[in-house]
Amino acid sequence: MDQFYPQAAIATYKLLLKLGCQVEYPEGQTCCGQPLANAGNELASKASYAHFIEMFEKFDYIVAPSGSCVYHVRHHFDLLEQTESVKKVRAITLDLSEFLLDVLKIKSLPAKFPHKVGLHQSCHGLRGLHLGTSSELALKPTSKLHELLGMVEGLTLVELDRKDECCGFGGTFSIKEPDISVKMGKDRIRDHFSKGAEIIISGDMSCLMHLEGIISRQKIPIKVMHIAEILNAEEL
Amino acid sequence: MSHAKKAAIFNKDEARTDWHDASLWMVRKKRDFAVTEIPEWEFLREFASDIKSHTLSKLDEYLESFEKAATQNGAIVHWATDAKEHNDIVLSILNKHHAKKMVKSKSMLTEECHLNDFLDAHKIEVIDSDLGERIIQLLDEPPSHIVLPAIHLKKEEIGELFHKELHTEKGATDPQYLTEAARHHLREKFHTAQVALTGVNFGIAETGEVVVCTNEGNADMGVHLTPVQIHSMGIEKLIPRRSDLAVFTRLLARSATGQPITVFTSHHRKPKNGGEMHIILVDNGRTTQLGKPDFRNSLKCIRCGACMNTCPIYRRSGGHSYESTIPGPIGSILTPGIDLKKYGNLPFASTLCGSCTDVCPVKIDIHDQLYKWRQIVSDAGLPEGGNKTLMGMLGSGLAAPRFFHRLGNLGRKILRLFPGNEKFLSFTIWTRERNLPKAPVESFRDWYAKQAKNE
Amino acid sequence: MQNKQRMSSKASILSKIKANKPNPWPLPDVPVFQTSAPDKKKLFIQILERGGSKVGYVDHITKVVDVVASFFPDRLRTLSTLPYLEDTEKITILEPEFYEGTDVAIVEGVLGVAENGAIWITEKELGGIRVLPFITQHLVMVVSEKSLVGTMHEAYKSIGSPNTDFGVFIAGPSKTADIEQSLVIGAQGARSLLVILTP
Repeated sequence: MDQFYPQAAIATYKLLLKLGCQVEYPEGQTCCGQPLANAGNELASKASYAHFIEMFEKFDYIVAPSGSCVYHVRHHFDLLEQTESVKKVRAITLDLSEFLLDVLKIKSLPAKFPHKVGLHQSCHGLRGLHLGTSSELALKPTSKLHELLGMVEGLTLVELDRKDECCGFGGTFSIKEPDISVKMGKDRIRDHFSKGAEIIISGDMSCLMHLEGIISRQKIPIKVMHIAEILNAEEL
Repeated sequence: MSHAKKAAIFNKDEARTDWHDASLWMVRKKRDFAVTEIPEWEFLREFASDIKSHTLSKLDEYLESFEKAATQNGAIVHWATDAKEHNDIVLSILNKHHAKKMVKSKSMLTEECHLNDFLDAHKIEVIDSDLGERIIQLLDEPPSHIVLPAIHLKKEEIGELFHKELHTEKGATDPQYLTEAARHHLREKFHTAQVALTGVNFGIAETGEVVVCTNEGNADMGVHLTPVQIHSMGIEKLIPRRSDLAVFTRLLARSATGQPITVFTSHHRKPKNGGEMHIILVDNGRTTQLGKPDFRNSLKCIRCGACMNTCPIYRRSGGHSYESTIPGPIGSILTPGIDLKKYGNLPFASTLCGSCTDVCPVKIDIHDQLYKWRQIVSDAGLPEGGNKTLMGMLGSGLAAPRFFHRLGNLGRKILRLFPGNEKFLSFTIWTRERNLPKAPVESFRDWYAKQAKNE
Repeated sequence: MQNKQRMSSKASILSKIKANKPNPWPLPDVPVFQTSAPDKKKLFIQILERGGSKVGYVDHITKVVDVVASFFPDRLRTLSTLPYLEDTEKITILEPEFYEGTDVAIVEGVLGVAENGAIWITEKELGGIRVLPFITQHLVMVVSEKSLVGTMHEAYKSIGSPNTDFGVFIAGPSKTADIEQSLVIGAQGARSLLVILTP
């Protein structure tokens, strides 16, 4: 996100400031280590786990506009020795939507975005962090992302055929099984596009990067944006 | 061939992939509807999971209780440590009765043991009596789904097969007509077979019964018309009490096909008058899996197939691309324990989306186990795990801020040199069908640093 | 020789389990869940019809034969295990093959389960002919409304410990969707199921 989608990070930063937080971006940070770990090399990523802890342990909350990173820290940092720092960091690492609703407990946003959008619920966010109820479960449906989008004036959400099917990125899966990866992405895009969505939004940049790659190659007239950009949008 | 390669071949026919995907998604949707009819669904899943976990923790005791009760009922209980022993036992029963013809209802266990091929080699005629299984038997193919064996076939293909094998009209594709032809064909087999074999959905430790669930009635047509009936059961299929069946019969069919219950749920307890009833308890690697704390939960599986129906990868690649008896998500956590080299690529045939875990009626942590198998595969130095040295270097690089930032900046700057980056690097795997992200002028770090300066 | 081999397989499997099994996990106490549907009979009929069965109702068992006649006017060989149906063939031969060619078999179910339309029947009610409900072309099951329970939990509680050699829950006519997911009613077992509810 730092190198290729800074606008999502900028939006997150600005939004948090707007809501009265003291926000710092530790410049020495690198990566949560998920890509390597998912590829089967979690031992190799242990160094980046340790670095993450070192970079972030002094804060009250660690907010990431990325469900997959947050999931990885909370679920897979059990590989590290569970010192007080490690336990603290794992407990305070939150997805942006969790921070906004569960910590700041916001009930409204000064956001305006009069467009027809489709919400892509990332698997790590939905099934991993339980940001919402996945369609497989027989539970009362809730959704943090829907709740936040409901605070955005003028926004229309399209109804998809498959509300929470995976986009097909899956980290190294995207190059290990490119055919299925692309097919899954194409199918997701078609679902959104056929329902009239102008923009596909998600809380996970990795999903969007994958979808955007297909969109721009196939020249489909649909855009992708990170949810932080929508929540921070005052005018467009 | 790896799953990735087979999946690539499968995806060459996009229309067919869409058809296969839509067929299975439909079954998933039926399951979703069926689930809404049980308000306590999530509680049932928890109970089912706990019952199975409990049973596995006392499996030795329950197997002994089961054997005792079944023997008292007049059944003959056999123990098979592996596939070979299972097959030998079946053959010995056939030989004892001079039987040359056996009907068989659906049993993934016998697929696992390659029973049909074995009996074939011993000149025993085996007829698979489930319609889907019969179709693939006539085609000499393995099943592509554990519940819907012929889901990958179109009715035109089945019509052609039946024309050749059952002498139906050429070009006939009406499923009603074709099923009727199969009914007559199989009826004759039920009456002329000398032995019938079934799988077992649930073995009840308390009563020694075996429970067999079907929609077609073929398992019953088989066993009630032959004097000798054999039931092949994986040792993990045991549940403690008859009353536990309530939980499982409410979960199984709804998860598998969206029906409230299978048409027939048969409870076989004693042999028929003048008949013989054999139960073969099969290990074949299950006790080994039991010893793996990270993976033993996979033994809770009740073979419903829901994980396959929901898996976006399975739907778009088909069961045959896994090259394992049990394909899909559950297959990908069961088989690496049997042969890590052969099946080590399967845990990577997934985006770890977690949908399988959410539909599993016995709450197997499938996607977590996929992640754990990946670690084992790469520790074993297998190709899917990537080059260990390279991975180690990357790992260190990812933890070193200066290297990480320099690499990122370099990547972005290189991309900026090629404004229309569509065709650039189109020889890489990513860029065959996708563009690379557009490279912005400024990274977030650059922007942030500027902000700090301005303050 | 064979016996010894089997003993050692058993011993080997059991010892492997003892070595590998996880720590004890408690067996849960499963409540006898009940159906949330207010009208069990209505639900039972709805589910049966949805699954392709036909349902008839008589206010007295003597009317059963009339209902059967109206559904199967052209039936040929009709078998019944019900003592009050005099005009039908009875179970006399114990060889199961003898019952190939049965057009209609009329039997009595022990209980019905509203949530899934399943009817429990055992060897006793089948006159000892286990294959009867499968081999017949058409199946008629007589079930009393009084016997209806809501869920499988209640069903197994009611059935209790097994005291029969064979039992089966039958929830509809045999069916398959193995050919391109097209539902075909009438696979290897009975082509149709008619459930006649009595008080």
